[in-house]
Amino acid sequence: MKKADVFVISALVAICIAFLFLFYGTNEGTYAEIYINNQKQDTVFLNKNIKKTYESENGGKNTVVVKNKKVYVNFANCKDGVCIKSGKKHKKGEIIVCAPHRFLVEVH
Amino acid sequence: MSFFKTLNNKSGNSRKNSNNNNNNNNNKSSKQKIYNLTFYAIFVCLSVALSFLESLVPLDFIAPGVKIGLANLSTVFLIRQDKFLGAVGVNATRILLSALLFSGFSSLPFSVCGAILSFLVMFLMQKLKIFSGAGISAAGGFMHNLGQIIVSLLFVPVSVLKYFPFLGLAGIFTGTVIGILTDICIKRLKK
Repeated sequence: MKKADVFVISALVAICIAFLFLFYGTNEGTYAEIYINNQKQDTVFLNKNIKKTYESENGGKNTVVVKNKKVYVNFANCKDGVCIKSGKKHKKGEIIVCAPHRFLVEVH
Repeated sequence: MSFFKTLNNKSGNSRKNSNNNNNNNNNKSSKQKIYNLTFYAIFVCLSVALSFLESLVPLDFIAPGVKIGLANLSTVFLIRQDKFLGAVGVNATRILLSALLFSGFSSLPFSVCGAILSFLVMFLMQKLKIFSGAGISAAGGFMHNLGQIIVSLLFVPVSVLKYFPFLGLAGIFTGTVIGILTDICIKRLKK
């Protein structure tokens, strides 16, 4: 094997990997599922801008907002507000958790 | 190449014995003809046999239609020896025969387009004289699969492009292996 061979082969492999990312790397989520107490409550689609408030059994409230294909929690009546701080989520598999209210949003 | 040389000499000798006072020039050209005929016939045989061998190895789990490309050993071999016309002839015969024998004519346009693309690339790379077998063959394998994808776009939806990265990687890998094998073959045959 010459240097030129190594160059050609690695260039071709790079092209393939670039296409691989182009086709499979975009793991944008399409919808989010909302769980309370480990039970599925609702499904929201990320292509529609909505604002919804969910109440859990112990009086907790979480407001889920979908905007610009991203989902986030902008209000929660708990102490720590971890779910608000965790920010906007849009990739597959990302989650927002509010432990005190046993509230969970998962992007699919 | 010693095997082919002895083959060449044998046919030449028998011809000399049969007519002693022959025209030297005429003898030489017919000798060359017989040599070429046997030489390329052996390559067609070899590549068809290798085609059969590779049809026994299922690699469909990567993407549909992936093969190990062993049959391209003969093509790469001929291209590495600067026998371009011979390579085209052997490849065309091999594609027709293997379509008749193993895969059926539905896969013919795929094979033909892939073969044309990969041959052009390998031809240019061999002319540049800065590549060895591995690089030439890897590019050939990659272009072969690219050609097949282009043809398949005519028949099936664009989503088939999703197979392209896997096909490309498979082509590069098998091509590299075949190229290295070819260089080993050329080295051994020259001894």
